[in-house]
Amino acid sequence: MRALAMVICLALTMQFASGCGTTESAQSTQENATTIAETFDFAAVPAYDGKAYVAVNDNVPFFTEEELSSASYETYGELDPLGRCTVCVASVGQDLMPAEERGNIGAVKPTGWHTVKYDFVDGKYLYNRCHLIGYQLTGENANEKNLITGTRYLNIEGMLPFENMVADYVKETDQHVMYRVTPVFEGDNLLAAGVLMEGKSVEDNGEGVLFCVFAYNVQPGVSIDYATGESSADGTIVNDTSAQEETSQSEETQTYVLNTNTHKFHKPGCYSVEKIKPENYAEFTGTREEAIAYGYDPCKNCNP
Amino acid sequence: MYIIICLDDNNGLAFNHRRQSQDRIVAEDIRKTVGEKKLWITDYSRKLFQAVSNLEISENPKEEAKKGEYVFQELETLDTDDEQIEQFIIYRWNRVYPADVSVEIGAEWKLTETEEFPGFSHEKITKEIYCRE
Repeated sequence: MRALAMVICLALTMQFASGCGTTESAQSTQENATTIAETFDFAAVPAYDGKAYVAVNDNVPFFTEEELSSASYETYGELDPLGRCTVCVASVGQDLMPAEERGNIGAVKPTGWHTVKYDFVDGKYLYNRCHLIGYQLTGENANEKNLITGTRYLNIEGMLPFENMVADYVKETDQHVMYRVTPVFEGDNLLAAGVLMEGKSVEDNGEGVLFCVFAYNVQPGVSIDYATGESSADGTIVNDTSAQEETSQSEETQTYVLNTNTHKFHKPGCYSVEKIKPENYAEFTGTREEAIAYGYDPCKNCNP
Repeated sequence: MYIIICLDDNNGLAFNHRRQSQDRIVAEDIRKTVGEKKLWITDYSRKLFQAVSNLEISENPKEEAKKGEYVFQELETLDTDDEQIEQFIIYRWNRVYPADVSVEIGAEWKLTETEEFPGFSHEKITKEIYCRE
């Protein structure tokens, strides 16, 4: 990976389609924050060696003073010509944080997406739709500009810890954290090599939160072709009994019928659907995995 | 001395010279736990305990705390074999954060009490008390 010519999708000048939560006072800051320091040198990032992330630039983010905003805003960079995500920036404040549970994001197919399972992967699915700016921070659901194909390992071990840190700080202090996530693609690869994550608490000038890390888009035990997202078990994890299993219906977006009383979900044609009382009837469009994640069990008759 | 620390799911304590997290309910519980005894902290922790009157600020709290006094340790790991330590009080965040400093409680310590309560920014805080075997 290191030998490949680097073309980092840093989108030095970008257009933003979303400015949710933006105030006029934050506008100029947004425009400044649409670039990332050219001094970030991905070639200097060490190869993955067992740690999900590594400090970059001594853990000091590349924000300039002008980019720091104590007014909440969020921006999501336009996709590049290959359909890849670029850079997402937010000044995270409590007013941006979601009050509802996350919605369905299964309809978005980021570049490099494959639905593939390995028994040894947590949750089995190799790839997640990884929010660049986590849902808990800005409440962004199925925004294709904010979702990349990321391994489970990147999502849970690499990115989530930093999202948690930022979220807690904002909730406890009611202040802001400047937050920028930049996916790094080598050449024309459809799968990111990883993400550069930067965070700095604004009002206390980084006393509370300060980090600049590169999180690796890898999965222990899996060899990945970053050009396409194809993968195979590399044999380093021995309990790989299934090797690779391309899934079909479980990751397809479908409409299911929910019984909100029994917490079962059904295919729309299931005979059990007719017995559901109107007050307990709901429809859900998403993947089977997501329905289960929301706490519903598949009906044993229609086996959705 | 009694050592008070906050740990994540991986026994992480701090990252990049900063605490992983904070919770005002935990700070209040520490205040109640300490009661009238001294609570030794570094200047870094002062903001968390503005309502606590019996604070002692030191660059080396563990060196200065006497028997029966409390030390709230945030950024540095410690030797859990230290014979001066009478008890560990661990607040677990029940989440995962970045970590470059962690604390592993040795086998000589026995979990004697566990309590769970909701935090302000954390769904569940687990308070554990460890005493020597």
